[in-house]
Amino acid sequence: MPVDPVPPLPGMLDLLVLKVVSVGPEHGWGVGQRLERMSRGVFDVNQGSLYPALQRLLKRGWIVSEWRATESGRRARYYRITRSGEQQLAREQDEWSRRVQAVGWVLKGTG
Amino acid sequence: MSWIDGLAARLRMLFRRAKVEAELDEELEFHLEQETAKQRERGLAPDAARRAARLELSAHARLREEVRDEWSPRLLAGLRADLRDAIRQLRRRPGFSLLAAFTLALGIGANTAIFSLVRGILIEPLPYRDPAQLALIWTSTDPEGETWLSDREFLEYRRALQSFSSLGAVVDGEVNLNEDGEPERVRAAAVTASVFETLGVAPIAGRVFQADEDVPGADLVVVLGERLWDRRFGRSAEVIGRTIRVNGRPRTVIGVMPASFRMPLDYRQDRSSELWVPLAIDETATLPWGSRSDNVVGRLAEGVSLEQASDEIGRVTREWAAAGHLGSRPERTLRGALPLDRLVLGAVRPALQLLFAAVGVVLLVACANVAHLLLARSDVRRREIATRAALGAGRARLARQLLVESGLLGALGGALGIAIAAIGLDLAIRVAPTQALHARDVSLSLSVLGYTAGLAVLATVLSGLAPILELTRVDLGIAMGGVRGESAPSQRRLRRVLVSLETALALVLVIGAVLLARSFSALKAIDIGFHPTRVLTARVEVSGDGYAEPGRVEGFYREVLDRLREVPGVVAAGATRLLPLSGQIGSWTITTDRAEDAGRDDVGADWQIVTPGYVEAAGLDVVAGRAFAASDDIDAPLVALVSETMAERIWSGDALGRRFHLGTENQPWIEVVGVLRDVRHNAVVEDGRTEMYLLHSQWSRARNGGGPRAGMTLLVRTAGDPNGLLGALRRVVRALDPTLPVSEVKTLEEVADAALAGPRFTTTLLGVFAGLAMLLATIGLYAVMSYTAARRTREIGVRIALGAGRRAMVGMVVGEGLRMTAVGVAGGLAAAAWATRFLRSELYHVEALDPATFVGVPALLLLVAGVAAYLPARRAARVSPLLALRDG
Repeated sequence: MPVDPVPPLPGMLDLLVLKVVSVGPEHGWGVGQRLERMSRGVFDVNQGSLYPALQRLLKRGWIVSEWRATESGRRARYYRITRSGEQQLAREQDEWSRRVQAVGWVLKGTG
Repeated sequence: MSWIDGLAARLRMLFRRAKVEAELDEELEFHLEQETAKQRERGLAPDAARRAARLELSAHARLREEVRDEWSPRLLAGLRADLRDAIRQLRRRPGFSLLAAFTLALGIGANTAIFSLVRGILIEPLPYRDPAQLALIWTSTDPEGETWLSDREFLEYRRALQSFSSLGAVVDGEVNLNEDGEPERVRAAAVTASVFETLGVAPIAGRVFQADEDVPGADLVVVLGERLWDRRFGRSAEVIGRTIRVNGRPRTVIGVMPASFRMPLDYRQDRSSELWVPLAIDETATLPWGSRSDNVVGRLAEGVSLEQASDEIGRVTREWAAAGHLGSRPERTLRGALPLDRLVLGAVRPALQLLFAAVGVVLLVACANVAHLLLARSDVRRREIATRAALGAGRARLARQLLVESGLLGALGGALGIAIAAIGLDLAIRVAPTQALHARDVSLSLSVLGYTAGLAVLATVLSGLAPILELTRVDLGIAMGGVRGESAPSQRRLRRVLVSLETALALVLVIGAVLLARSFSALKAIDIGFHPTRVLTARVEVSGDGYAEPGRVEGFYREVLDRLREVPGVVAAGATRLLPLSGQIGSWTITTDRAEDAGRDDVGADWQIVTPGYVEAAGLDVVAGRAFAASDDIDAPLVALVSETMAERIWSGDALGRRFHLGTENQPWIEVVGVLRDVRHNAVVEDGRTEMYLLHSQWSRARNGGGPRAGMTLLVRTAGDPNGLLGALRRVVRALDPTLPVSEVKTLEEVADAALAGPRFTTTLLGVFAGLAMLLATIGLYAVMSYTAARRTREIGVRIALGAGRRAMVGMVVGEGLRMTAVGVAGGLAAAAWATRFLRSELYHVEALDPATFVGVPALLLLVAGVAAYLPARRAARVSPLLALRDG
């Protein structure tokens, strides 16, 4: 069933981008595509949010970038996760799971 | 490490902004290509695909902006916006902005100027190695006076004292240089070779004296000061090794000392020594214990304290006294170690500290005033602020914006303040007591400007604080919907506190200034014993082979004075060894004709040497007997004049015809022929001096031989402007001896004025600061009263409409102003009662709690406050009730 793409919840984008990059080095456009694929088409990230998110992660030192040639020989900037980025990702994943669980309890609960 | 990664990335951004942005552009271009390709795959035409992609990549520029925002620190970005805002705000009301900035500039400028003095004089170490270790052997009861030791005492101290690693002796003087250009007289000193080592200052060229050069016979060498070297020898390196004539004697130049170098005692003179010759002491001879002319400076040995050194000096000295070497003058045994900085800064330090505190107060008043202005304005901006707050601006955000505004004012004030400081410093130096100032580097240096920047920040915070506190407490409902014209009660309270505070601070300064002014006028009223108006003075010292013959020196001065008396306009002419109020006169042991004085050696008198005509030229008053006459010449009977105090102390007032002689040996008797009114010689404030006046022509005979006095100061009393006689004076001297320099040309009035330079300096500056504080406080009060009166116009209109009299309304507003002032006056009086104790040492004939001042100044302040409140009150009360009501 086709779904209408939606933007991710505010505040979540950084976590998602970090996860996407952790899979393997990827350029900016690729990150967007991969995110769409990994969310099975639910999340459509517009680049107006994507690139600032990448810059935020760069600024915190969780990812680094380098210029490399793509398969077609075009120069592109690739992002790669750092050690501290991986630690951060692990932390945020735990945090996220706890939240989701908690939200689930609340929504299912009867008080 | 995460934060290091982050920091590295940030630094990269900071330094390579252009490159980072180019990378971003390239990245987005790549994105566009990929997106276009993707759209094409979906079947769109190339053009349409690209258009769609571009649409998605809409607002490329905005994206760039957003990405950049991620990098630039948020605070900085916000500050930039605030700064823009602040500039706009200040520009909108240039009158307000200028007034505020100028007020701060006055405070900051005055502080900067005084700080330059404090830094240059008090903080900057004296230009010696380890200056804290230097001390002088000094009479401990009289640090402001002079202490001379004899060569013998110097040698004995050097032998006995363990507390000092080295000791050096300095004998002050002046010399004539009459080769290589105009004859010139320069301050000079004879010093032991150990002096340079003791002070720890190296020459900039050549060398200083060696240990074997301060003995008679080997001493024909000379060290020059850099300025003299520059002035007379054009900084030529070849002058080293050359022989020059100093006071007619040939000496070999061996070195040059830096321009910053001073002999310690130079700091007390208005000119510094620029040439040094060895003080040749014959250590093999048996030297007399008396004959004192040396100042002795020493470097404390490792680990020895001043107290220990003082104790040791005292012990050694008392041993000498017990052995009978020091005669029976009790003060001679009271010697100790005087720290060098105490000698140099003695009177200057408390004065500067006082002024430093005073300018601090001025700055506080200025800040309070600017706070007023900002408060008044913030009232107008109440709605704007409330709107911003309603739209979600946080308190911190609002405070920051206000702080940026006052910061801008502070920066403007600081910049303007530097200009004011430059002018102020120039003026301050002009009225400054010369000694310590001219010798030190007082300028608006980099460190001073750093201080200024600090002051600007301080002023920013101080003046911005009140409005910030106030505005961030704005109540939205009142501010937006309330009646225009009412301000929050808390704000009115804050204003009243500020006015009271300003008044109190200003009152303290004005009281201090009035006390000093009263003290100064008391000093000015002191009868100094001579009449300094319309007298020109100049120093001459004969030197060279032409004066070796007996009577030649005396003849020269008689001739010079005779010729000067013939110059039209000259009323009287004379000469003296030492002008009053221009140096310490010193005492000479005498023996009187009183029976009880026989065999005593503790009777002394200040020794003044003058020519006939001196009494008339200086305007001394003859109390009894006569002045010297032309007939009192070199061969006539020995005669003397004495001061009233001397006549009183020694002969119970009946001195005429009585006799005394110099020293304790068999020297010829001198008869007293006249009594002169006491002259203040060493200082304006001093007890009457035991002073004897001997004739220049008889000086040699009075001492049983010995040389004549070569250096004398000429005095010419005129009917008109004394400065007009300078040319004639030079011509007369040159006609008699073209090699003689005429130096230290001053009017006697300048000499007398210089004696009060210290109090004049303090009084003038404190007066300026107090005036400034009072002006600012008055402006503050006026501003607040104008504001309140204007704000209460509506209320006043209603009251008048209901039948209240206009006068009552004026009274109401003025009463409010006076109440604020009265609170300040009460606080200020309490503060002044405490603060004036620090003035006590500066006051002469005025109590620190002088009742007249403590009543008069507050009364004056209240009067000024009344006027400042009355003007706006009258304006408000004049308004037509109708107008007031409609406008409200």
